[in-house]
Formats: sequence, structure tokens, C-alpha cells
Amino acid sequence: MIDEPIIQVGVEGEEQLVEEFKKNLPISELRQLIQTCRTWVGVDSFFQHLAWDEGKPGIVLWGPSDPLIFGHPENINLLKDRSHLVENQFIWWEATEHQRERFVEPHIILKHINKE
Amino acid sequence: MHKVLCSVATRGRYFTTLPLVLNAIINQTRQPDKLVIFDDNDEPQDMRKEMIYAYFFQMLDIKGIPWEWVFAGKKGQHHIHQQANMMGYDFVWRVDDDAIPEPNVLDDLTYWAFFEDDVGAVGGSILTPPYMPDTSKVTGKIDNIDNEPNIQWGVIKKAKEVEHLHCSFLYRAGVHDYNLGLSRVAHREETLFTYGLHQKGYKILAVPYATTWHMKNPNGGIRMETKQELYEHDEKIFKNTLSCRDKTIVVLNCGLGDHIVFSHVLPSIPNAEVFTCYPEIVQGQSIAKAIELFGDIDQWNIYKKMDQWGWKDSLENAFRKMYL
Repeated sequence: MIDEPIIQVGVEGEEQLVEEFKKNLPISELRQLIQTCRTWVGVDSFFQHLAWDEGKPGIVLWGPSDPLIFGHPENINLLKDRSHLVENQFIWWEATEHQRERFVEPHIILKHINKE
Repeated sequence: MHKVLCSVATRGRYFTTLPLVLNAIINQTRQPDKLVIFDDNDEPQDMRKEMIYAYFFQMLDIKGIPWEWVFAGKKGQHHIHQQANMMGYDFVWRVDDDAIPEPNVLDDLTYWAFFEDDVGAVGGSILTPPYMPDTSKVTGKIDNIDNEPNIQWGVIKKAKEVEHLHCSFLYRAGVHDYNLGLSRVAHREETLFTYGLHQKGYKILAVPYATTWHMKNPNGGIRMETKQELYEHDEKIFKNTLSCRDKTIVVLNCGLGDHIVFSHVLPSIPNAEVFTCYPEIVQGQSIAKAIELFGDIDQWNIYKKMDQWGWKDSLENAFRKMYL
């Protein structure tokens, strides 16, 4: 489906999904990595802001938070349905339960990766 | 038409000056759109059983002034005023529980407040007989606060733009926060608040013909605390705030991503004094230092602000609204 190297970026304790998993990278190394990749896929976290700061558009998967408030129009912002957005967008997100069905299906993400 | 909330904070004056204040509010020639009495008494009572209050409540109903009696949290007057500030009204007329306004006061204050869009607060004379100094030469500037009487202590004969007010005044709601880091005596709370409005570019006016009689009562009062260290704590916050008055104070008590977004706004902020969680993204002093200097940093909480504003636009534009 994707015949290019994939690097997972995250922190210690996260589930490893691909062969190369870079954990706990400092900001400066993350910036370098962003510059060398063709594209990136992430959720609404600091990473989408860091990549935006580096001028590298990517794909952001949205669930309960609103891309019109927290996203950047330079990215491909994949929101399944605005009905999944939580009413209060300004709460602590740690208090929001993860619900997989709020996010778009993988084949939609793949379609956009291949287009990028 | 602008909606005006009248807010009265009271403690220990159920049977002294509070009835006079309520009577004066009921008899204003311009009615407030709502009256809220914040009861901060150590032992709050149900005043409906007291005949004089039953009459007041009946008069409010007859005159069509919605009213509410709220039991406050004993955290100090500034918490009460902040609650009123955020109740969704355009203006709040704050009246102390020992300050009796003449019948025309709200009418005159609203005349000045509604006259231009950039008026932040309007106050009239607050007279405490027999001490009524001549304040015609008073500048009302914050730099002179320790060297001249407050302009409101004397009979104001001509409208004057000042930098701060005290005691009772009418202010534009929801545009500036009270500093909740002050102690429960809330020393300087109204000075800090009105000066904050001034710093945000709003006019602060001392105006004639809007006289309130301050029946200073040594018993009761929202500030019946006597601990000197509480006053010293608040005075320190006041002085620290003034020492930063030529700067734009930025407190980034928020996430890493928020700091990155903010870094795009920072170059547009004149003379920013930054306090930060992530100095590797945005350089500045620590958040602990901000708390030490200003007591409370919630007034710079961008998420709280966006919630208050009912924000639908981008985070970057929220930072711009907050700091530019």
C-alpha cells in the first residue's frame, strides 16, 4: 500500500506499529525529521503545530476537537463528522475518552497519503 | 440598548447600611436590568423573613427589576466582582454595601458610559463626610496614587479622564478580569481592575453629578479583615503589576503546541514580557515567577478566554485578540 519507509514517532510506552519507532525525540530532532519526510500523519497534538511551524503540510486525523479552531488550513484535516466534536472545545483533553469510531477509516487516510 | 447588572457585595451589614443601599438602588431614576446581592456573611441568613427585606423584594418585583440573592464563597470581594463581570451583561454597576447612591447616579453613569464605544469605566463622587477634600487638581494618574487623594473623594465638578477608580462605579463587563490572586481582603482590587481597563485602551472617567454617600462603617464590610500581611501581599501584587505597566505581560500556561502557535504572534506584540512553560519554544521567565509576581495567572488562560468568548476562530487569532 505504501512502498516508502515509515517512521513512527512517539513516546515510551506507546504501542509500536512499524519497524522503526523513534521515541522521546527532542524538539530539534523532530524538526529535522519533519524536514526530511515526504509527508506525515498525526492527530491533534503538538506535532501538527510543529510541522506547521516547519512549513511541512501533512495529514491530521480529527475526532472530538475542532480543526477550525485547532487546525491549520495548510494541512489535510480529516474530520469524519462534525457531530463527533465535543461541545466544549476548551476543556482539558485528558478528560476526553478515546473513541475510535470518531475518526476516519484507514483507507481514507491511505488515499490522501498516496495523493500527497 | 446596553444591559446593566447592578452588583452589591455585602458582609456584616444586614441591619446597618445594606438596607439603605438597596432602597437607593430601587429608587434609581434609571433601573438596572438586574440586581444581584452577593451575600458574603460569615453566617448567611434568609433575609426574606425580615420585614424590611420582604418589602424590598416586593418593591423590586413591583418595579420589574429582576433580582437574585447569591451566597458568595468567602474568598473576597474580587471573586464576587469577577462573577458579576462574567454574567453576560454589557455593563456592571458595582455598589458597595455602605455606599448610598443618589437617585440619578445610574442614569448619569450610563449617560457617560454609553456615549462612546471606548469607555471602560465611569465613576462619580464617593463622599465620606466630613472628609471631602478638594480634588479639582487631582490628576487621577496611577503614578500619583500615593501622593494625591482619589478624585472620587471630592465633589467632581467637571468630567475628567483618569487612570483608575475606586469603591463604586459602572464598568464595561467581560473585557478585563479582576485579579483573583489577591488575598481575601482584596486590597487595591478596584484600582487594579480599572487600571487594567485603562491599559487595554478604554477610557476611565470621573464624572460630575453622580454622587454616592459613603457611610463608612467600622463594623462589617467586605474588608473586615485586619491581618497586615494580607494587605502587604496585595500591595506587592499591585506594585509588581505597576512595574510591568509599560510591557505586555504574556503568560503561556498552556500546552507545547499552543506555544508553537503563539510564537507566530509574538513578533507583533510590543514590548512583551513573557512567562512560559516551554522556554525552548518561546523564551521567557518561568510560570512560577508569574504566580509570584501577579498572584493569579488565570486571567491569561487562553482556553478560559476562548470559552468566555464563545470562540469559533483559530487558536492563533485567539492569541491575537488576547495580546494585540
